[in-house]
Amino acid sequence: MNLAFLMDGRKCIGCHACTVACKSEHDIPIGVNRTWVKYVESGQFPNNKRMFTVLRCNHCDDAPCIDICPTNALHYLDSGIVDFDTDRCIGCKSCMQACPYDALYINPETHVAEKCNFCAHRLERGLEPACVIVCPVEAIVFGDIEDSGSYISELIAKENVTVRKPEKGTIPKVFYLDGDDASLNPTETKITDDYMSSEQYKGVGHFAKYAEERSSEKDPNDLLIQLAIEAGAKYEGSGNSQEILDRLRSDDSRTVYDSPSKGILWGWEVSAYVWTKSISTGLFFMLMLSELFGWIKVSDELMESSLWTSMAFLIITGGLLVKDLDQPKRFLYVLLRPQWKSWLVKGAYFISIFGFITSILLLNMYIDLGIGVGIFKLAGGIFAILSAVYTSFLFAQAKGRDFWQSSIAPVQMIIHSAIAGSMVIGMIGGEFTVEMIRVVAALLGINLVLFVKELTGSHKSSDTKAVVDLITKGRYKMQFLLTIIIGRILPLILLMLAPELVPVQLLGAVVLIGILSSEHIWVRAPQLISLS
Amino acid sequence: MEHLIKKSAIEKLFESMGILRKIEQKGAQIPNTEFGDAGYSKFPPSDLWNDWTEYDANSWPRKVEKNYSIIPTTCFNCESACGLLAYVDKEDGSVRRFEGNPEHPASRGRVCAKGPATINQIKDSERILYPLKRKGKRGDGQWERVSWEEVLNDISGKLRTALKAGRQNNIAYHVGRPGHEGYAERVIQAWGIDGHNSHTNICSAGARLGYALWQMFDRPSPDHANAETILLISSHLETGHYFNPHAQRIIEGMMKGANLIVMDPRLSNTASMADVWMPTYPGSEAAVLLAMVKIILKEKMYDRAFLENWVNWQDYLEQVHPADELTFDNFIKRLKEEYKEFSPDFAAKEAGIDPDTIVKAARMVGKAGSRLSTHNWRAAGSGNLGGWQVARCLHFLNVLTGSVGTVGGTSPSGWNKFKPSFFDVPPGQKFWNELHYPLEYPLAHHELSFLLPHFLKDGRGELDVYFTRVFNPVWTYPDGFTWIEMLRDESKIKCHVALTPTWNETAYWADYVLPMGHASERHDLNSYETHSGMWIAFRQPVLREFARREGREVQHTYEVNPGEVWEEDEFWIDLSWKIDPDESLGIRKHFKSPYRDGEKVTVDEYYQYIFEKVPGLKEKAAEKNLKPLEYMRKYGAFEVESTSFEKHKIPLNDNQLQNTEVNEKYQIIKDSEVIGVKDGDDSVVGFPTPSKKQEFYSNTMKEWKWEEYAIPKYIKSHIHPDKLDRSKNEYVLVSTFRLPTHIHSRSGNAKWLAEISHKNPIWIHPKTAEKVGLKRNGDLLKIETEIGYFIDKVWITEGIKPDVIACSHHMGRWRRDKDSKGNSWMVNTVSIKEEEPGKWRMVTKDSIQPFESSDKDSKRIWWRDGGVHQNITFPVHPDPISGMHCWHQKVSINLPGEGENYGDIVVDTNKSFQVYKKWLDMTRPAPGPNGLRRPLWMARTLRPAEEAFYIK
Repeated sequence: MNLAFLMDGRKCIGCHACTVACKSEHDIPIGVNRTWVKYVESGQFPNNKRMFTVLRCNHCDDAPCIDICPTNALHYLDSGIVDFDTDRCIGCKSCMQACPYDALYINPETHVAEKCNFCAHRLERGLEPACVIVCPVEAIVFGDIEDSGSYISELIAKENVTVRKPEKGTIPKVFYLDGDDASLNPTETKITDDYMSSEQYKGVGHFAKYAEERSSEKDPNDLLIQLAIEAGAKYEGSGNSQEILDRLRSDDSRTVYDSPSKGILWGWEVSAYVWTKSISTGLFFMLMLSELFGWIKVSDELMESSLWTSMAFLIITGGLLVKDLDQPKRFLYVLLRPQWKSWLVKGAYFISIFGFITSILLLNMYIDLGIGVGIFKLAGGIFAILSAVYTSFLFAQAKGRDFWQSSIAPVQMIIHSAIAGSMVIGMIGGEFTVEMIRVVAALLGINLVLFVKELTGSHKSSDTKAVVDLITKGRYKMQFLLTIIIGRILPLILLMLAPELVPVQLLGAVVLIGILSSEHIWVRAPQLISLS
Repeated sequence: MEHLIKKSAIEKLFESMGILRKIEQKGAQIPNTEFGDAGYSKFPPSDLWNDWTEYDANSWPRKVEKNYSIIPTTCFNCESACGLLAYVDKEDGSVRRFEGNPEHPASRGRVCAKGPATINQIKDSERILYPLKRKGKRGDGQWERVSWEEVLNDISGKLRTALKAGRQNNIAYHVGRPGHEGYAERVIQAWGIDGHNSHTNICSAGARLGYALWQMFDRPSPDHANAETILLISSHLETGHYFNPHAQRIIEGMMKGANLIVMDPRLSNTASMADVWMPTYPGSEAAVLLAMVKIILKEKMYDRAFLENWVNWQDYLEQVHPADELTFDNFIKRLKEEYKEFSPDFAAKEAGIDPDTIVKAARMVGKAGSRLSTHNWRAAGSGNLGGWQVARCLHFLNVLTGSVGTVGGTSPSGWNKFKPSFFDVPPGQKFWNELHYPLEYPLAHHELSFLLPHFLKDGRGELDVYFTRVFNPVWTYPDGFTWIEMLRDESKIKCHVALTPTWNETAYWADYVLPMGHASERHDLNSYETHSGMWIAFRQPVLREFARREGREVQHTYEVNPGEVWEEDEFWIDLSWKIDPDESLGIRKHFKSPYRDGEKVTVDEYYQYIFEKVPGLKEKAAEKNLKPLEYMRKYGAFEVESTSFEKHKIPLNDNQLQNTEVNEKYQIIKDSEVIGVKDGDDSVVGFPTPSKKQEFYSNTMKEWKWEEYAIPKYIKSHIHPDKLDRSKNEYVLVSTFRLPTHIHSRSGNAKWLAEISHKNPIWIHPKTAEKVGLKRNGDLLKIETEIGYFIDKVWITEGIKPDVIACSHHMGRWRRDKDSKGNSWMVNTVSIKEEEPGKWRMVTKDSIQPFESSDKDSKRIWWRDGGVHQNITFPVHPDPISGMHCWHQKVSINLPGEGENYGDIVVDTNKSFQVYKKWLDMTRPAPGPNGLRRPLWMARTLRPAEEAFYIK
């Protein structure tokens, strides 16, 4: 058996009954939805239309949310349903990055991820899903697509049926009969700055708690709640009235109702963790490499202060990771209830092992443990590199974000670690040899080349294109430009031409801030792209 | 279903060591024996409704059993009265959720968004739980809790005093959403007063008159499911009477191949689903329909047999062309002459649409023949001066195509609506209250309810006791400030009793606010013409039925309702009983049990009696070993007839046919009155008009001084382009459109609906926006009406005709700081100042804000914009014939000036009084023939004794 939904576009009247029936069945807080009806308008009067599209979890046959979920909270049922167990969820929100359909949300009451589960509790009792029974026009069909005699199979075989984002390879199982391309593919519609009968003013889901804390304030920007106003990101332009009216008048489709934006779910904690981790791991493996190749004279003092610094940044890294969880008390589940396919789990183990080795080496400096230090340094170096690089694979596992599906990202992540680590070694007293200066300069050079490659290569998806535009032309243009010039090119020139001119503390600070800034853009910009 | 989780060895180890809690997806399996091999069922089988066990949704994937008692009732949001099932949790006796009731013949188990949202309404943390009496001056916002005993004593005393003093016309019951079949009318007639007032004339009076002139019945009942062409001047795929039942059947018809034609200047959701969308200029609809008539006549697509037999064409020829020979061909010839000016080009010019579209639509209509279903209820019928002609011209298409009362056609409402038999029927009252049925409007359908405050201001009367019930004219009606002026005047309205489940803008100016139950907290009988067929449904207080099932006998609904919330049925019985303690007023006798001699009737007995008299119900109930009342409690609905077609062909019986003769018009005459029609060899009842036929020619219109409108005509609306000055930025504002997620001002307590829609910007076309200087969505626009202005944001869209702007209903709810809090999901806080007599200013002080309550969602409100109250800036526009308030507004639109802000409202009620006078002058008052106040054959709410129809 393989259960699927089919939305009959010939019948749907956009009444929102399914939305409300679902809320009632599952007692879902306001602001978040397991299913909702998107309205899209296209055409010019009087040859225009408004299309209604019911959106929800696609119960993918190859569900990226299941792959990325670190604790098996998301899992399949044998009927093909993608179900979830709230007791297992740690609130890491990686499923929300992995899902290309924006199907998941954080319940502001229970702080765990939820989504449509096909009303599994009803099916198990022999009852049809709540949205199916409420629909005034019976536009929501469900059934077994493995049974060729089922009504849903019949419709799929005979009628014009599409699915959302098939190119993601998720094999989605919500079928759309007479589906409207502009409604199914979010990048095909213009995002406007508000909707026909609703507006969003505060954060929902994960961000509801911040909104609640500030419920008495009237802060129209509410920046603190990190509410992602995609409109603001994409809605660039001169503000010229003619241009705006032209845009409204164009034949392009525009979304006129959608569920509220859930915001940028991986916020500063994630950018910061990537950065602290790059320092911690880079410091370790660059120190070992320096020792090996003689790039820097590694004294015992330098070794000691480096290991302590690496350890300190690693602890901060762990702290940030836990802080980012909506269920921080369950942070150990990542290690103790692991789902091995998840890079979050693999990463947690890498970091733990790396931390363990660093601790042993540190301890060994004060109490002779009688261990083979060389082996530990080698193993530490390997796990430092693994810890440094794994986040790029975690990002790649977040299938919702096209921009993160990059083959360059792992290399960049190691380079960032290496540069950051090198700079910190310098800042805590390591004296750069000419070779070391060349190594760092080379790393900066490759880093720059890879930036160019990443942002100018041919972009397969429109989502990626949109992110590149955000970085090179849009909202992040200035920040990115400054990051590259001050954080990369200027240090590169200084290193190559006059390494003595600027104290290493200053140079290091500039480079580190540059890396933080670019990581921030890389983490944040892709999350501005609407998935629904 | 199996959960495919591969637990890692690590997890198993730690769980087995007891370091980690064991997480499993399990629980006792409930055997699904009820459904056999049929797979899945939509609903639990009705036999198990008393005791139904299912898994708790929120405990899943752990299988935690929940035990429910499933009890039917009906929705009380819009008028459709769709069936609901309440899931009562047996553990704590609370209602957990609402689903559709599969036993309900109209809604068939399916409901719109407002159905499941009922749970928000009954759990509303701000609802009124106790009777309140005002302290201080009326409208000061100060209240004290009082007992129901005190309420009943005080109000019954006032009523008794008024009745004994002969001030029968000083008592009025004014209802917004009735939601019942004749209950209140019976009470009022038992009091012997002409005191019923309704919301009809801000709603449907236009369409009602249009239909009534053809066939007395004042509503259409389309058989959309079997139609070939569906023609809507409405938006029944999203709102209206009867949204959900109609939408189901429209889509059903379309899936079978029917074409959908929609007239609407706005791209409604319905228009968007149409095969042909005609974005007609408001008020031009009748011209377009008559152009379609002309095409159908020209292309001989009409149903000759139906026209010849069933239309009073002979009357037309006799009256208008007396020289013509009485032949049908002459009629067709004259008909073509009558409508010769209505070329597609002419109509297209009036409507601002493509003439080809009209031709295309006309052919779809003609081709459908007897399978043409049509509907107009509000929309154009309620927007325009002469809007009643829209429904009349629309029905003309049904008459021409012979699709009246046919399969796939359109029946008169009365054929599909059940009339209950009451245990006691008081005689018609001997009074005629001109506050409700003024002489100026003899043909109105019905009470001139929106003129009530103007009549009071005009010195036409005063009220001793004024009941408002689920009724919010200050907000919903035009000219709300005039309502406020009258409601606050304790000399005009001596006692105002608001019966309402929640706070509303009208209740702020009450003396008593009496909390009444929501859908699942009250009794009502419902029956509506949702489709071909006839049904009844039983709204019942589900916790009362739950108590009964649990073996607890409950005497009154308030015993199970929250706080001291009553239901109206019991309130009226107790109040009526108290008015007449010594039976001297002859009221008490109408409230005595039909089963227990001399005792006060109970609400159970009231419905028991009705259900015992419903044809077929006793037998159906007996099949289940139930009595009729028990059957209705269990199933909530009963189908009286599965289809109801061609009831004009019901034969007259032998008794009726005695001493009759047939005239040259094939009418059957008895005692010089037409009692039926010859249909071939059959003698049948025909339609309940004076001619017993469909009346193309209305002799009534002629007799009542409107001869120019004796036949369907196009009347140029008060907002016809000729009457607008574009150089002054004058446009028409369509203010009446509704959203599928709300119901007037009564869904502000439903958070799940509020979060989907909460603001009402002005829809404006990009071209128009450019002309006015608007740059982007959310820019402010000042909309000036005849009596003031309001400032709203704009929504620039292709979905509106360029020379029209539109604003949706429902939003812009308000309270003043001093008013009690309620519906806070959708209510702005405003300040209101009367700067000088009649000059009012309202300013939004605070928009929607999160708030602390027992509902954790209330502090998570993520929207802020609560919209703007537009109706309060509209003057009254009573159509001189139908009495309909013509909603469309001529407005001038400009960018606001310095210091003018979003939500600002300014109104001068002195001006609105002048507008009232101006429109009143357009009337041609009674008396009609024989000194009549109203044609005897026309329907009238709360029909008085015949003697009251004559002006003494």
